Amino acid sequence: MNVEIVPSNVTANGSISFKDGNPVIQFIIGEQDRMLLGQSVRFTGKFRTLLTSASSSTSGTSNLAMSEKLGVYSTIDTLTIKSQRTGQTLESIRHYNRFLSSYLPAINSLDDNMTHLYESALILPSYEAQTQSVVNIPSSSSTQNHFCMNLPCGLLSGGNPIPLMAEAVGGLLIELHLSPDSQVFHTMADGDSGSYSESLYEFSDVSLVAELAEPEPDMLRQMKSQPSGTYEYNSLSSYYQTINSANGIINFQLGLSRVLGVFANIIPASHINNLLYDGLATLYPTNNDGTSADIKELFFTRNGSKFPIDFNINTLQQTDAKNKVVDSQIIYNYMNAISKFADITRTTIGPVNSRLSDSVRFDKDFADGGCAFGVGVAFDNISDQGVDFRNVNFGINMSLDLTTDSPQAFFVFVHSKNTLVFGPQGMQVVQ
Amino acid sequence: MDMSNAPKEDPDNFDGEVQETMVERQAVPPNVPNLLRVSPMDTTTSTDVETSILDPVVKSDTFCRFVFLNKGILHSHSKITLGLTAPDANTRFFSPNVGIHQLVSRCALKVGTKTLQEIDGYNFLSAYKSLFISNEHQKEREQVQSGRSVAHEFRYDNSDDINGGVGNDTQSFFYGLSNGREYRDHTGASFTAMTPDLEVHQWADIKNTPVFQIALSELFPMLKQTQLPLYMMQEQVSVELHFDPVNVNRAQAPSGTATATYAINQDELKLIADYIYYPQEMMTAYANANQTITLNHFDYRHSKVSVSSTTDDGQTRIRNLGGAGRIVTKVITGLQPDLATSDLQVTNKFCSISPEAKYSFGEAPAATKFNGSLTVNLKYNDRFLYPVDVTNPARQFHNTAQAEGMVPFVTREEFCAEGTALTGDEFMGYAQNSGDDADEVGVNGRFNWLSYRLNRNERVNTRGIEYFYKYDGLGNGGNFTQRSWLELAKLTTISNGFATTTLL
Repeated sequence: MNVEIVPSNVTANGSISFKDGNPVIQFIIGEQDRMLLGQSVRFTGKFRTLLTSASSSTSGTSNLAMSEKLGVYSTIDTLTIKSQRTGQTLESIRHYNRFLSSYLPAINSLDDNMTHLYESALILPSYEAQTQSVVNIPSSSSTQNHFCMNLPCGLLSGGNPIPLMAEAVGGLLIELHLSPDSQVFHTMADGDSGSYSESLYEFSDVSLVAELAEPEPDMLRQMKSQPSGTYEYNSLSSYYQTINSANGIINFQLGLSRVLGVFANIIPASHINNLLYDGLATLYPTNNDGTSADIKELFFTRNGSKFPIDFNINTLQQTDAKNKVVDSQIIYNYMNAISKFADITRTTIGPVNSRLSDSVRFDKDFADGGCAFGVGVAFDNISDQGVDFRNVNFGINMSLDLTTDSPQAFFVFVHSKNTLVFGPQGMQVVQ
Repeated sequence: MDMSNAPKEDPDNFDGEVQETMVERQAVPPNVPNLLRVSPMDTTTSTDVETSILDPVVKSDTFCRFVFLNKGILHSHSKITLGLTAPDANTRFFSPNVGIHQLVSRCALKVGTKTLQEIDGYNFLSAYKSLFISNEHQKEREQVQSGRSVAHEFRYDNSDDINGGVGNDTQSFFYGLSNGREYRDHTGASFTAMTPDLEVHQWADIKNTPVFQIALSELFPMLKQTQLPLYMMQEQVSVELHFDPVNVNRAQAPSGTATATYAINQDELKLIADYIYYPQEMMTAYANANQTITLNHFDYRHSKVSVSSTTDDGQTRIRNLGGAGRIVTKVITGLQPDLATSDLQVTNKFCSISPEAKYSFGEAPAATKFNGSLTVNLKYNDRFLYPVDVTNPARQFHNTAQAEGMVPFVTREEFCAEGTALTGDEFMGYAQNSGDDADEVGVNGRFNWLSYRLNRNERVNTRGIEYFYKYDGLGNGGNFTQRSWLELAKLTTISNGFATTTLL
């Protein structure tokens, strides 16, 4: 059966925006004797952008823009899924929009972005076309932009139906934490960012739609009679760190036991929440004048030793500084960390959008959905059981030409397996 | 990381020439023997494929019938070739979203006097089915095979005089159709004044009498899952094609070219039948072990109703689609223009028109600038399919994807006329960014096919399925026909060489 759920914290006028003090949208899929088909869950509604609370963005007079490769996804900063019955957090992805800025281009082709993702999430991989057709759409004060998008995450994308019974998950509480307007928007020009300090985005008529499966009575009886159960899913943990030297080192205690891969995307820290720049771009490391801080050498460590690649990735720029092509070893390992490389049959990442940046405008003029750079490494593409990082550190080490004062923000995402255990004593997420 | 927002089937494998691709497409009923499954076999058994080129036993400008020889196992990707005779020396083309399929208005697969599968309105239904073929696939393969070529490319500006820096050639306000050719200046004006136009390839131009082909599994979706064991069948197995009797439905003329009379090229009507053979003892043993074979599959029931652009606009209508007493798994609907000159459009009638967009690129937002809307719901067994009527076109898009298990590869403008990114450049002389009215010629709003998965696993009661719909803001350029198909569960049994078939 189909269900449509309106937010439990709906506002009086039905519109929701970060700027007007509604930074969280909360949906409750109640406890019931049904199973949720996670892949059918969609966040749906209407979306519009405003120059100020009283005026819409207009073609020809406004330079307001948003990330063309994320569309409406750019507005979600954190996705949290909890058990309704216990309040236990089952999955929480911070920096959700930055995760998707790596994930979506890696597994969707240009045609996917131009067709079904354009209809469902207002993604259109041309910065100008997306601006004119979504941000400046002439219907922004009437029918607005409609969207109906899935929420990629381990729990909902796992494929197995999620039992909503009191004996299992006990209903779900899904929270979308909205991103600040200054992170969602940027100007396409170079000096007018001050004109957009009052700009905002706004949702209306939002709901969560999904399909529920009703188990046969015998099966339901059997499920409810089981004293305990488990539900396994892939999940993401996110971390944040900056580097500001020619010897970039990232080091974390992950505390996860079944880590499948780690990937990171990068942006100058000054671009975050800055209307002058696209805060959701995934740039090559850059100096403060926009020139690329060429990565000369890269390796990954586990507990201080090189792992899983037991050699240095020596890039093309190590021997040829004029080469503007991102080293294919970096891109290969990055994509392989997001999804098994051999399984990626459709992708937007290519030479056009993964070249080195060399402009003070940074990502604003990239074609094919904007810059699509990142670093990463997969740990286990064979057994799919992951590598234990409970008590040992993970590290990224790189030598790069970061010769100016330009702190680079690394958004690190760790892909691991989780197990949800539920029983009479409650539930627990085993990471 | 498996978090894809698209269904997991590989969209490149729609036609499944590579046999491996068909394995995971849909679950084959467990009672279908391995030998008949469309899948690779885990065996070292030698397989022979014999190809016969069959002429129709009956052919005319409106009908043809092919009869198979009862030998071997019929390969589901056997092909029927067909084309039109060039009416004159002018360029003409098949619609890029249906290709050669637009010639076939009805197809039937018969065994003896029994009809295993019959699809009425096939050329319209194929417009819906074609949504789910990826752009890359259409551009690179279907364009040559069947003439379908819906793909897209950004229309980049000249790098000389745009914002964003010297030499910047990444700015693109629009996208347009793409078939591998360059847009050309058909007006002969200067670069800034020209209206770029995309034309079909020379080899696809009807004046050059192209011959395209349709796979049997596309005509008869039941063959996507199973292959007919012709050698075990005692009755005559035949394929019947009815060609669209309406002349203007058969092809399109570019802008500025008059309508012509289109005749089926009967010399090119062929069935290229592939018969699969395994070692004789294996086939004999299989036939002895499977005296009775049951096949679960679907049939499609077509119905249509007229929709007035004036009296029906803004009114909630309830239409009974039938299906009483049947197991119905899916409902497909679309709205087509009723226009005597439909061959002077890109998509002809083989489209589904969305409510109209009352704005265009670059206009300032205002309350008068809005999209028309379509509100829908289905009711069967006294309950609605959706708890609240669905108006959001993006959600209708999602419902269609859920029903088909695959996302439609069409853009927002093409699906619901929302947005301004579709180019005003032309395809065969027709502005692409028009189309959301019966008398408009482009592809804007021309792919508004909706389908619904009836997901409650219930047999429809005697009241049948009721379709609730309300168009708000239909274009008033002409009237429409709303076509619908029910996907009905059907059971075919082949027992001792004789087939019986019945709707469940």
